[in-house]
Amino acid sequence: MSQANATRNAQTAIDRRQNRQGYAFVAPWLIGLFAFTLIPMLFSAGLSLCKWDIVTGLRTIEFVGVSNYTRLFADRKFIKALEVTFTFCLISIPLYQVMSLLIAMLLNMRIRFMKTFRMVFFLPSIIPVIAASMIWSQMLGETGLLNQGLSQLGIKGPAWLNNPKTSLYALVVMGVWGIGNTMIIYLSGLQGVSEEIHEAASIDGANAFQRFFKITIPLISPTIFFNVVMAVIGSFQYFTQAFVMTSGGPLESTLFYNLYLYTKAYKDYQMGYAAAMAWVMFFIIMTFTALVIKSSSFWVYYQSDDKI
Amino acid sequence: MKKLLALSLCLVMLLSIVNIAVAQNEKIIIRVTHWGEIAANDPEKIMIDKFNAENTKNIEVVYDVVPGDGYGDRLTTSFSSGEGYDIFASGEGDFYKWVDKSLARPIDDLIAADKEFKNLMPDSIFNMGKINGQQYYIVRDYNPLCLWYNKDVFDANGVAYPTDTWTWDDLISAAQKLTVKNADGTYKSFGFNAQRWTYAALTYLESNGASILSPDGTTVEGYLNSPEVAAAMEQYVAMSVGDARISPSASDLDTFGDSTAMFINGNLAMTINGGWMMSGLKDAKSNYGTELVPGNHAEYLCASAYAIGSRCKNPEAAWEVLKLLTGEECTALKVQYSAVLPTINEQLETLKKNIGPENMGLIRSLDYAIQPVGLRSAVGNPAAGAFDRALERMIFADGKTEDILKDAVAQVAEALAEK
Repeated sequence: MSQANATRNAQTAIDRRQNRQGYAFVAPWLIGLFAFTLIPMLFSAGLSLCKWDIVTGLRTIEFVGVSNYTRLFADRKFIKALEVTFTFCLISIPLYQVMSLLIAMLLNMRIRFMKTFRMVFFLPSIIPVIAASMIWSQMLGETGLLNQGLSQLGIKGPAWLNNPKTSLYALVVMGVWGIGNTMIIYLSGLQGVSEEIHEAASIDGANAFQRFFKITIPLISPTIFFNVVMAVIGSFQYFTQAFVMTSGGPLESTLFYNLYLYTKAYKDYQMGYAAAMAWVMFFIIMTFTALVIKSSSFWVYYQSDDKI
Repeated sequence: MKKLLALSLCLVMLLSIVNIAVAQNEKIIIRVTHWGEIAANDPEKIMIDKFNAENTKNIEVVYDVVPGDGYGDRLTTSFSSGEGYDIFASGEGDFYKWVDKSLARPIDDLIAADKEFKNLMPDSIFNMGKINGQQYYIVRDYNPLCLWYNKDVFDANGVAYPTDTWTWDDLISAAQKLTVKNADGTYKSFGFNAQRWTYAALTYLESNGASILSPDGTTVEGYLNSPEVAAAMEQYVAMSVGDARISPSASDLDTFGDSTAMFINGNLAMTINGGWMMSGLKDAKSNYGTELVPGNHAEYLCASAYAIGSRCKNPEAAWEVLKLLTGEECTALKVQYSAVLPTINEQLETLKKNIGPENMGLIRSLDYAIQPVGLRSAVGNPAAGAFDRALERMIFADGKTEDILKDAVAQVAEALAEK
């Protein structure tokens, strides 16, 4: 009996030591999670119920209840920022997915120099966003490369970024340049599609369109799902290009949500209001991501049992 | 036991004496910041190093120069931390903001208490630092706006140079003659640059005798939305619109480069701009002249200035340093090494004797300098912001001018209500 107790005690001591070691190993991540994510998030949630001018210091935080949230819907610029962001998402998310998939399919063909082509198409993605924005600012100018090209066709293009009617669409077009990451994920998805299935379908008389829509798309639907979720999150968070290239103008035509949030936080120093905006955006992204996940049971095909 | 107690008491006394001695020798630290980069002969650094070396007032100045792009963030962070600098520099665009947030300290009491202090600056420069009737800032350097003209373009078109008797109608009439097209219909030169820049547009308004703010600074109603402002702004915007335009549009600027490049290259005859143009024009050996702004000559003064932070624990010591950095000796060094215009009366008089006739209009403009509208009152600040948006809407023809200005008035009311 005593020997059994001694064995159990020894085992418990080993367990405790292993637990301690385990906690020690995950501690850096846990500390990071608490210090840089969870605590700031909780602080931000609390702050959204307060009025705080960041430059006057922590002592000036004043509780105002939900007034930051109620103020949002009377704020003309907030509504405009939502309009701009939703328009951008509505156009860019499907456009980028289709473009990425089409390029990935081209890059999945077996032709010479394919590795070079893949590198060329992926290359823009590794250029820093700021540098890319500066290049595109030049290209989209009145006398930029785009208009020079159009002039060869007898078309006089506008100053794309300096025209409220074209500025948002110019940013959408610019975004196509940076679809390399999405494209490479589609490419890996396409490479996972078995050639035998395509061959079998061909023998059974399926044409190229049928094979694409009935075989390729269902088989890469988990990849599409992943890319769409990432695109929803990324598009709603669009900021840098608008910040660098248009500053939200002209006439607020590129006043993206996050750009307005940044202005409220770091130009007007209205931290409480900006925190409320951040939480509204959090719920918008969460809702749309949840919708995509919920809808996935209708259109995402998993070959294994690893369903979400 | 008694011995131990006596020993302890002796030890405490000894420590107290040492502590008092240390405290007496402890220097008052004054932290100073501005944006920029330290050059080889940084005038402020020269003055601070000398001050620290002499150490006659038991003050040590810590000098923190922040590269331009990061300055705003550094200042914000320092204020957010609850500390802030003892002395900080600000552009006039932010003068009102720091006062409004109680981060700049009024210095009237320090000026009054300092029997030795004597203002050596022209009133137009010294008064730039006044917000709501109180002195908060002392100007470091400044730039008046004036009319710059390219003599070559005038000569080529046989048009007489601008004079100080010009009205805005005279300017527009001359600009029409100076706007020249090439044979293929493209523009060779424009007569004037009616800029998108708010300061240029407001200088145009004020020199035309109109204002977006009441003289006492309490309201925009009847000013920002007045028929006079609407008519003047329609005329201003019309200068850069359509085939008969006399000013480059945004697209033209995109084609030719910015207004300074256009001016240097002879594509622009006249522009309202600040003293910062001078060095570029000199380098390009441009044949230029300067003149007072047409009309009543009112023009906006751009400036950077130092303020004492409201959290400064030793304002008297900070005042000594502020005087050092904006005083006669430091200004003379700035004129020598940084090629800025002097803030001191006597140095200005010397400059007038030595400066070329082409720059006299710039120097004379100082006599007509007015504070930008955003600095004048609690209403003036949002009024400047609302006007900026209204100007953009007018340029893009986003509605009738009267309606746009009416919206701007409502926007000011909203901004004030938000406060």
